[in-house]
Amino acid sequence: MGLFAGLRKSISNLFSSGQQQQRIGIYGPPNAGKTTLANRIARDWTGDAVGPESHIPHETRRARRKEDIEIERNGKSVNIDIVDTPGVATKVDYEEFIEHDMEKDDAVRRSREATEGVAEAMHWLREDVDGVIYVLDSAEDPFTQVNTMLVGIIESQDLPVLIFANKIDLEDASIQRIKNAFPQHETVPLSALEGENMDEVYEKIAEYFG
Amino acid sequence: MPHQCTECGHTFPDGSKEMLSGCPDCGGNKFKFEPAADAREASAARSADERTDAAATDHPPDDPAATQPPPATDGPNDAPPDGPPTTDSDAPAAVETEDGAQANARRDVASSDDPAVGAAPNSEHTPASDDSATSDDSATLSAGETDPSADPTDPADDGDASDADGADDAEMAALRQELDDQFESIKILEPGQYELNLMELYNREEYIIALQEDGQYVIDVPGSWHGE
Repeated sequence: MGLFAGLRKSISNLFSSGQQQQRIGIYGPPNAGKTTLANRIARDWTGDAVGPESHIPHETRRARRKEDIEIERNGKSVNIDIVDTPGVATKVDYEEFIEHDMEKDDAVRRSREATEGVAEAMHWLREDVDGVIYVLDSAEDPFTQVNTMLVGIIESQDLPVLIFANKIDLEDASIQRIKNAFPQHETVPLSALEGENMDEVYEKIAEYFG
Repeated sequence: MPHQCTECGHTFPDGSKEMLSGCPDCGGNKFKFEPAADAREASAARSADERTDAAATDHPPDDPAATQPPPATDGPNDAPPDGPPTTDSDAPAAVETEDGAQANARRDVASSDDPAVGAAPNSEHTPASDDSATSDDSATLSAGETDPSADPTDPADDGDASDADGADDAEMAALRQELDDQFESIKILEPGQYELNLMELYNREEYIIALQEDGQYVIDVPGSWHGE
């Protein structure tokens, strides 16, 4: 963690009274459902949304923050800021967007912005989050370079992390495959889109980040 | 001593790629470079002084000493068994290893980009009468310096050197590529196609906020970023 960020955190801890605001980053590969989850959480507890959702990868190209969300569960309460981050990838190619019927100029611009978004997401991870919700698509193979590297970085920072196995409403979903990939972390199954198992989601958030 | 670790003082007498993966003793990655020219000139000046002093006294009859320098001109690697002892007796061993490092560094890195660096000191030394005199130090130095420039005129050296240089060039190209891959945080393959090094992006103090069309990018330095 950056020196300044650590110092700032220490100072804010010193002067804060009562409950501490936790900044939780929602991370994961593109199209895992991070924005859908962020919107679900924000709508459930504040009535607002965080950002637009799309089936086209890299819809979120700038980190978006929703502050002061109070989640209460089983007598436990946690105040969090959620940061919806751009999907992290090791390659960004405009041709991927052309496949989604996008004009080349738009695809190239989106690709550039997506790359900037990844840089931003990595910077947030380094400087400015207190905990991580790592979102994975249950229907996709979790054994990827990006997942391994990001979870490794999060572990190296000693940040509390919850693995969210999203999209359990899909036919090909396999929660067990995700549990096998990251047995050292708690895996919570959910469908952010359908609102399935959100009770457990909030319980775990309150438990881990409270 | 072309390079020295600033953390622990470990020196790299062969001036080679060993330090590219960090200091083997302390893991440090900052190295002090002692310009080869300084060491060369210093030792050359030192040896020249010694030679003139020695020549003034008793060296003219010292024929064995006069015949020994030529083997040493082959360089530290090719020197016959009787070469090193004579140089050891007359000069510090460090001088010889520096020559090897200098020759290695010139061949591997600066041969194509910066021939003038090797040529400049060479032109200073070649006219000196030391070449034909008994100075094994200066002979060794001039051999190291004339190696690159002598290549076109020496067919025997040419063949060997081109093979060795070819292998070295390939090795260096691979090494450079590896280092590029390791340290480049965003590689622009073409507009709209990017490869990202997540670890490097994560480790960077500065924050890349905008990529430009021409391959440049805008960063926000930590001071201003933190000052929000």
